[in-house]
Amino acid sequence: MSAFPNLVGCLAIGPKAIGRVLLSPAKVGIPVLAVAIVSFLLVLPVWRAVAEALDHHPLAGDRFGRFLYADLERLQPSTNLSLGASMLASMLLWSFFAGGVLVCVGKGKRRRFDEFIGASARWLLRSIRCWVVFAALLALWSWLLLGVAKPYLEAALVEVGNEGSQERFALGLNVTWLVGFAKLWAHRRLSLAHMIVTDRRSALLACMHTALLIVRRPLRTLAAFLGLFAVWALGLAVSGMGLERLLQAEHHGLALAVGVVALVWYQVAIAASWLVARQLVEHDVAARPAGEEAGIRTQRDLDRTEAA
Amino acid sequence: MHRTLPTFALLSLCTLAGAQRFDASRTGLPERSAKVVSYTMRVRLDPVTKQVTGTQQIGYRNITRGRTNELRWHMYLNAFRNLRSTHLRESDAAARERYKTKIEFGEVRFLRLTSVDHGREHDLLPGLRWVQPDDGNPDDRTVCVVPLPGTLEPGETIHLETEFVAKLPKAYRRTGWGPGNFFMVAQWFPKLGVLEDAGSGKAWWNCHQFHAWTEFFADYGTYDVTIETPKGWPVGATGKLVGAVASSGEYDVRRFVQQDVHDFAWVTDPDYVEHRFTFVGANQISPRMRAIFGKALGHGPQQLELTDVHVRVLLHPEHDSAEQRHRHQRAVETAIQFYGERFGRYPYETLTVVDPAIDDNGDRLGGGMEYPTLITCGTRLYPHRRQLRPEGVTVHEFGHQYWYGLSGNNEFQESWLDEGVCSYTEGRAQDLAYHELRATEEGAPAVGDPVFVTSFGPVSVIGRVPATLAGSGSGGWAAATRLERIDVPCMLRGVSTLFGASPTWVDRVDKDAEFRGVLLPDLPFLDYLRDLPFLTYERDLPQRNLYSDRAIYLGAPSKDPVVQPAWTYLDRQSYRVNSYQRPSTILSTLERVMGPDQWWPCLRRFHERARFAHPTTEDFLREVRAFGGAAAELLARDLLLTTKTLDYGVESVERVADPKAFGRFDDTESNDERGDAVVVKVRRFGDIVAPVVVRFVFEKESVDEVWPSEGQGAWRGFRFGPSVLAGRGELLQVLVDPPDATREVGYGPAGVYVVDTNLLNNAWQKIPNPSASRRRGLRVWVYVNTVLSFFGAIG
Repeated sequence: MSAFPNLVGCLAIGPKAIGRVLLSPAKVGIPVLAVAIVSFLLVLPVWRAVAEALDHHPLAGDRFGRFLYADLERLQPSTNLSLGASMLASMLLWSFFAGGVLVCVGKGKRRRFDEFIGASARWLLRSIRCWVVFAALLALWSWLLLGVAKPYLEAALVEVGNEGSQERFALGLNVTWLVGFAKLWAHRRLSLAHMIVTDRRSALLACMHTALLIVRRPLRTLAAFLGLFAVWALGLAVSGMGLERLLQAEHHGLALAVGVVALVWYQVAIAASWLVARQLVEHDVAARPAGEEAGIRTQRDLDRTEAA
Repeated sequence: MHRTLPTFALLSLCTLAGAQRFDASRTGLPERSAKVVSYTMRVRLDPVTKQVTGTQQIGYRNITRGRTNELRWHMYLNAFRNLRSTHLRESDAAARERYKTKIEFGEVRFLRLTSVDHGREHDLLPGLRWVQPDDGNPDDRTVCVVPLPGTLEPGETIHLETEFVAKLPKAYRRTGWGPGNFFMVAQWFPKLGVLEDAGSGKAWWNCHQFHAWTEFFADYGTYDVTIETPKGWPVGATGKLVGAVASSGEYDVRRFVQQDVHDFAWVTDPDYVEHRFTFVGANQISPRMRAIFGKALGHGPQQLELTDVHVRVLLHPEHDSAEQRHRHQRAVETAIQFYGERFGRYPYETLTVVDPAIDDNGDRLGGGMEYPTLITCGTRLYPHRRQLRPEGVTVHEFGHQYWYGLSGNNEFQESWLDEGVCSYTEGRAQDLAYHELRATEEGAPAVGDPVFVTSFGPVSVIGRVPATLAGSGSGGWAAATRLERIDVPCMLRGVSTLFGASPTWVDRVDKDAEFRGVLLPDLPFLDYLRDLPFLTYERDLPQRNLYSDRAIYLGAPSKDPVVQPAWTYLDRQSYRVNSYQRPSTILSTLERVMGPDQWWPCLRRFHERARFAHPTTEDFLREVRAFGGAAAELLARDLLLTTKTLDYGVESVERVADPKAFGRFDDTESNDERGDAVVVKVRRFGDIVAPVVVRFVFEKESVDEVWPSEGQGAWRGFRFGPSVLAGRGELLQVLVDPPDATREVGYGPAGVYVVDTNLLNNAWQKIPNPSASRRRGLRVWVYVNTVLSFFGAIG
């Protein structure tokens, strides 16, 4: 039995996960490519329409150009993007790749491309089951907080007609909901990681197991994801600042390059979040007394079986 | 019982010469109105029952050439009597859902109504009946008719006495009670309609029902109102407080008197914090405006001089900060100066500026409303440094003191004459006043280049997210990504809709979870974050009313003509566009067509003649013709009275090879003009015909050509032969209706015709410049990547 990492150790899990993901560029490259293709397919017609309308307009390039956007959006319907289907596709895409990342990335040995896709496909159904549980829990949480508790809380806490009181209440309610959302988001990741590490099929059981993990180690699980978030946000802020300056200076080629870096960074962070979940589950399983989860086969066991 | 009615004496002094018709021969500001009516009222507010009870003594004079044997009354509080009133039927469902219990409804009724004639009283109440002249809705009781015992002849005055009770409704928009003890008391008392000449010596009552979006038309007169409110409650009201605050048991008694107004409203709330300041009228007129009005109208300094105005600002304690006080005061001073300078002095001694309460939904009760000498504005807890809120609404509502108050058009029939003119002048006032905001714009601000931000109207100006996210709305993802407001339920609703959830189910869930999200405070860090390409298409850049109004106008450019009764527009969007943004854009266009030296005198003369009168669109068009000529009037007529649109553009620019000089030529066989020619075709895409300037920019010089309106066809070709091109160089740009940086009005991509419905086709250049499209394309791409990655992270 090995000890579960302390708070500092947990904070380091996120950055380390990013490092591991970056060491598997080929695998992360697939979701990057997929998202890039989707976004380019969406944006290219917009870009073309904008170019057609503005490139030959002598006033578009100066500071009056923005006053032409109203005409552009009205007269060129293709410039008004509808992102609903793409958002859904993006969600499904990452539900698919989650299994591949959990099994193949950062394992210390090279995995072939077909293994990555195979693992993704193999765990897809479990990933979707986990997602359904997550969606149900999110709906339940939203209903409990916003539908059931809110009227009572509002009656107790809000001074009617006092804007500050209303705003503070709204802030509290929003933050509470967002904390719950973040917990459930992490919970979903931990649940799928638990299903894969222990080769369980039931999303509900996995959910309960990881709920215990979160209850037992709330700060450390939070710290693990916070460490990842902090590094990701820092990278994003730096790339955002660079992007903004490059756009202002009209270095469009460099701006495109930084945009690509930002896109990669997004996908790296998403992949790393799965690795963080796997690390936490592995530590949790390893830290439990022998026999607590009798019959559980860990990923190591699965790998041995596979090798045999 | 005959009573002494001092204000009746005032009425008898007035003559028919002062009738409230537009006086097309007047050449200056009238000092007084015709005082058709006088109301002397004594009322008491009971905050427990939410009722105002009181008495009225009314003098009403028939100034028409016809007689009448009835009186028509506005009983507008009855709009809140049931959910089937015309007002609530025309409102959206959310308005009706605000009323859940009986106490929340309102009504007004007479307890007694008598006419007093030579000491004899006639009870008029038994003959009272309800009428619905606009829509025949039997459930609407906002207009009643009371037969008179005799006939009211032209020039005759009738004296009336009433007792009435007004049960105030729960306020959701304009009138009623709100949280705590906030009372906005507007449209609350029985008020007479307007008797108008119908021709052939007849008269008719112009007395419309209370509609959802329009509510004002009444005669000018004197209001003398004594108000009793619980002790210690500050009161803001139309008019000037006469004498000291007296005491009557548990009540404070205040008397407000105001002449030459056509309505009376008041507000009270024990929480109000009062601030006072005085606008000093001396030396407020700029030399330029003195010169313009002196030359065009012959006005001397005395006619242009402004007077002092004593201003009271009633703020709720939460908004009582140094910044809020400063911003309110500056906005009020800006407005009094601008409107006084351009249209004549504000003739009243007082102005009360009210910060209305908010209800449990966070809606501002009575926010942004105008009443004589009293306006409600509305600010927010975290006013943004670069958003003109509360300034925009304050300037706009003060503008209504001129365009609604002093110029009393019939809002029901021609709402553009108050809302449209106010929207236009609001933007112009802000153009001139808030120069320091120019410094926030990219590039050096040019002289005469008014740049400002505003939040008035439905256009959001902080950040731009033009992508149409399914289910996104002003409070959902769009607001969240603008970092203006985080509203989880609204965002959830958007996501639910995204996945095809039934709108009914989503609405129910959303309603259960209803709250307005949290406003984010004005922090530079948030501004910076919001401006990053991950969250917006465009950096937060100052907007101009001119172009934001135009953008909204283009949302519905030809659904209805501007001029038509407000309740007959195709839909609410059409009402808003045709009452606010389209007339504002049209007036900006007319300003440019006529030039400031003709335009401002035209508008001032129109106001002078409309002051204390009931002007119409035809009166306005007559003044446009007088100052701008027949062409300007025709343009204004087309824009206001029809659904025609204006659009000029470049159809094509082609280089054509000049055929060889081969064959027989009559004069010479040695035609030496060889080489290519450039043919430019300019086209009129819209229905409106107007003269338009086309600028051709060559390598060596620019040439302006006028395409006149006389005999104008659908298109015109301009051919530049080899010899012209040899002299001027290559044709580099073509600009139809080119911008002019010297204009006082906001400089932008349009020249004269801001109403042009398509500015994209107005210009052409030979060498493409992809910087705008690249910047836009890249930002859209980065934004889309962010959205997709966000949902990928949830996946």
